[in-house]
Amino acid sequence: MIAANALLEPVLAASAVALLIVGATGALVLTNVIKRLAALLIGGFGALAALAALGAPSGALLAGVAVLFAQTALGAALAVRLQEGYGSVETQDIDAADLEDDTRGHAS
Amino acid sequence: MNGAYLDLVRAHAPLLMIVAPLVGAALTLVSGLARLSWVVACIVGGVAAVIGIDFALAVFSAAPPAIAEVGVAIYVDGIGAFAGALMALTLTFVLVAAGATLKEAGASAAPFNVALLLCAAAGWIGALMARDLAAVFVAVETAWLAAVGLTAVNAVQARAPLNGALRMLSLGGVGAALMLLGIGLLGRAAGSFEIDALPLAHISMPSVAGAGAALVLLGLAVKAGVAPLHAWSAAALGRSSGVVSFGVGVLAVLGALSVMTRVSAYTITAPELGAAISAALAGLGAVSVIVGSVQAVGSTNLLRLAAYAGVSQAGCVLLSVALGSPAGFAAALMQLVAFAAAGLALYGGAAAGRVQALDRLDGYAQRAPLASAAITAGALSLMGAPLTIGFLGRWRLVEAGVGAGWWWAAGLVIIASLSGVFYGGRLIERMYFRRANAAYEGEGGLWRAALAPALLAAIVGIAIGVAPNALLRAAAAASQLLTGLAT
Repeated sequence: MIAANALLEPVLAASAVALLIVGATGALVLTNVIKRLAALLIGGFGALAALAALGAPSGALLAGVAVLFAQTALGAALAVRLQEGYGSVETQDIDAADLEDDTRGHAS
Repeated sequence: MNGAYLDLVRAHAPLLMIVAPLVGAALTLVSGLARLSWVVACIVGGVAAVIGIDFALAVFSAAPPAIAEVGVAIYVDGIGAFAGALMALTLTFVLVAAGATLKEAGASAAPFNVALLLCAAAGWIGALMARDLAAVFVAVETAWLAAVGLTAVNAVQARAPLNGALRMLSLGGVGAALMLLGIGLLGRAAGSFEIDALPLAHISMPSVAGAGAALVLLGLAVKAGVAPLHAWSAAALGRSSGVVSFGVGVLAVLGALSVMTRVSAYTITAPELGAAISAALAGLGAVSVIVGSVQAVGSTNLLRLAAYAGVSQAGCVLLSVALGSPAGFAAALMQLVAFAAAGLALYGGAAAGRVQALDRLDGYAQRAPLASAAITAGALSLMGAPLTIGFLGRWRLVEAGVGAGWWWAAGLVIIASLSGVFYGGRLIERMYFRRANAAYEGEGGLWRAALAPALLAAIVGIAIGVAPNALLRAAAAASQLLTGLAT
């Protein structure tokens, strides 16, 4: 039983790290804000799972959950404001609109 | 009787420095009115600054105070006490100066603005005083999410800050996940999640611990806007209001750099980790100095220029920390003070006339002579001109670097200063030697006086450069007090 646990722990930790990498990559490369938020959630869950697999105290896990919740709530509110401000939640459209605003600002 | 109360306050000073801004944030939201909330926030910020400075002076005196045990995992060390007092003082300056720019986001948003500023400062101070790595994480994320909220709330006159807030949230979220994983790895390898245990811990798996420490520092580097992880800074600050410039460009970056300095000081002094962490910080610092300098030189927007100059300055801080010696930590603390003074002066000068594009600076000295003087002092400090605090910080870095045989670090400091001469000189040339091409757009009347702290920061930056002994002594004492105070 102890040997099985010892074998299981690195497997769990590695799976959690893989989840984190998938989430972090998605958060950096996805262009849709909602998908980006979902990727952040996945990455956060990966980090929490890794923390649990590494035997972190429950306080640290609870803290991580609270931060992840706050991050998601803020992200959802931000997505709404982006839709209101830019009429889109695609980062390409948002960047293009900012560039246009910048050019207009220089011209005026 | 008063003496007993004073002793009680001193014994609880670290906790009060965290709790006072949080209580203040609640009060500002309850007050509801724009100007009343600003007054309440300024009073609370002032109280936190007085407590912080008094506490830091007591910590660096011959007989450091005993800290009351209150059931919260607080651990005060020299860097925490120094940087905590600096944060509280900077918060006060920022809050007072924000009074002149609160109207930009509308009166209804003003209580939220000052509450978020207070929450952010409480978070950074909490991270500087926390013992447990998980508590450091929570405090850092509290501060960071408050900074993201501040940026988003102020996207009123321009929508670009919303994009900046999104980048802050995305990059900061990835940084948070990496930091959490790093804490798990570091705690597992060192057998403890307490920061003060790291230098003395018997680390059974140095590679795991090294990876953990690197991830923690990477998560913090994102928030400090260290290149090449600073993709959020120009977007968030380029078209921001004065409150965001102060709250994110000065307060958030200063807080993240301070926490990074503190965490680095513990990991770099752990024998099994020291060399690897030192190399990683030196590499990151070198990249940050070069990238920040090049981007500042090419910038056509004053706020972006200030942000990129901050990236370069952050690189100098990391180079100092990478030395891993008390002289290096003292140089890093000096540069944190220089960063705060230069940031307040530059952003304050820009906020006075609502200047964003560089061409709006033409003839600025005729329209706003005091704001121009503040920008000039900030620019001189970024150049590392003699008799400014910027020079003092960089000189200490060169001294410590050459002492350790890091000649290349001295070369990087020269690069940072030469590029500072170029972009800082360009600001001065535009303000004093060109004809005005636009009318003054800043706040009029009495509220304009609220920007006085920006000018005061410029004066402080020069005054410390002329008479640096007290600050040098404090930084030296802080850098040697890593063992913490008894509770």
